[in-house]
Amino acid sequence: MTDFELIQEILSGNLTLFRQLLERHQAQVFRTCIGFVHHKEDADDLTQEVFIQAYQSLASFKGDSEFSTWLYRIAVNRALNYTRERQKKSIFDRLDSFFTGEKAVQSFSDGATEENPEQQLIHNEEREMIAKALEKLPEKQRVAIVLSKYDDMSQREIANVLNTTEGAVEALLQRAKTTLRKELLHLYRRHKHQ
Amino acid sequence: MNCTTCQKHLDAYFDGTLSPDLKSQVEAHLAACKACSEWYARWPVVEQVMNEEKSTFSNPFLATRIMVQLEEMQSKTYVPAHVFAKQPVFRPVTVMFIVGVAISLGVLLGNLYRPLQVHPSHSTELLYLDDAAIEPISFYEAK
Repeated sequence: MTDFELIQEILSGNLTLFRQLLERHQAQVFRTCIGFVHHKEDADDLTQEVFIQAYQSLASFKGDSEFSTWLYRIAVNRALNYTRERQKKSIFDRLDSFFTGEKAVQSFSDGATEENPEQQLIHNEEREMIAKALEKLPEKQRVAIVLSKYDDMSQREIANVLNTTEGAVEALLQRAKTTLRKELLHLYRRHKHQ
Repeated sequence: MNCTTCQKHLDAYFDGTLSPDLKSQVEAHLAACKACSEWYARWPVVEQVMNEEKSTFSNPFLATRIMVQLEEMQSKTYVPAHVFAKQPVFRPVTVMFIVGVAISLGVLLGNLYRPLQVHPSHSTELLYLDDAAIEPISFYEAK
């Protein structure tokens, strides 16, 4: 059964078929989500929200584009909303930690388990810096780089998701790499001086 | 070759798909430019971290979790979980409530103040008389 046929069945009341759609696209949505949030549990929650929203707006899917493209759009929008909310929340967390004297909890996942503690610490610091640099990218550049690097999407596929041209995506990716490079070098240098 | 062109070709350089001519130009630029060579050294680490995150698997029960929530949503007794979850509006509402209570208390306490009432037949100077400081009549009688 194709995605479109499945959707027609689900819309006619066969909810159990949604599981097939879910299993088909769960991994790709999860990869997109983890590219934005860098934390496994948060990415799970976000994936759940994406599929719930997809189910609720399934009737609005007209089949003009691929279902996966439509799903990616929902995932990207939800992930961007999530990161915006997290940025707002982190202002409150910083205020809390200022008054309570506690250090704000980092939300990055653990590193590889086979490393010794020192290596793991370095690895986690590296991971933290990369996540920070990615979060500092302008939204469109971040979306382009996440879809390209985490979902291995071609420039044409990214252009479909973002409703833009391949040329614009190429320029976005180029700018994203330049911004990422500047941010990371800045973070590495600051880290060295600490 | 400038930095922008070099970085544009770095992906292909890492993949080994660059033409020999471009490859030598990229290598020449990397040898001459400190910023690009630093980035060249760091980029594999960035790729590695991204690949590690990419290879993370979602919770094996996620599909079941989603299906259960969808089934609950379809049933009439469904109450969205977020109704009971910590509301994002909770904190601003609490802060506004506390500020409101503080202002009301201030107004209330201010209104409780009543100036001392003086009988119209008495002059207000009488209020400031200090009885303890008045000399006894005997003091004048002795003179």
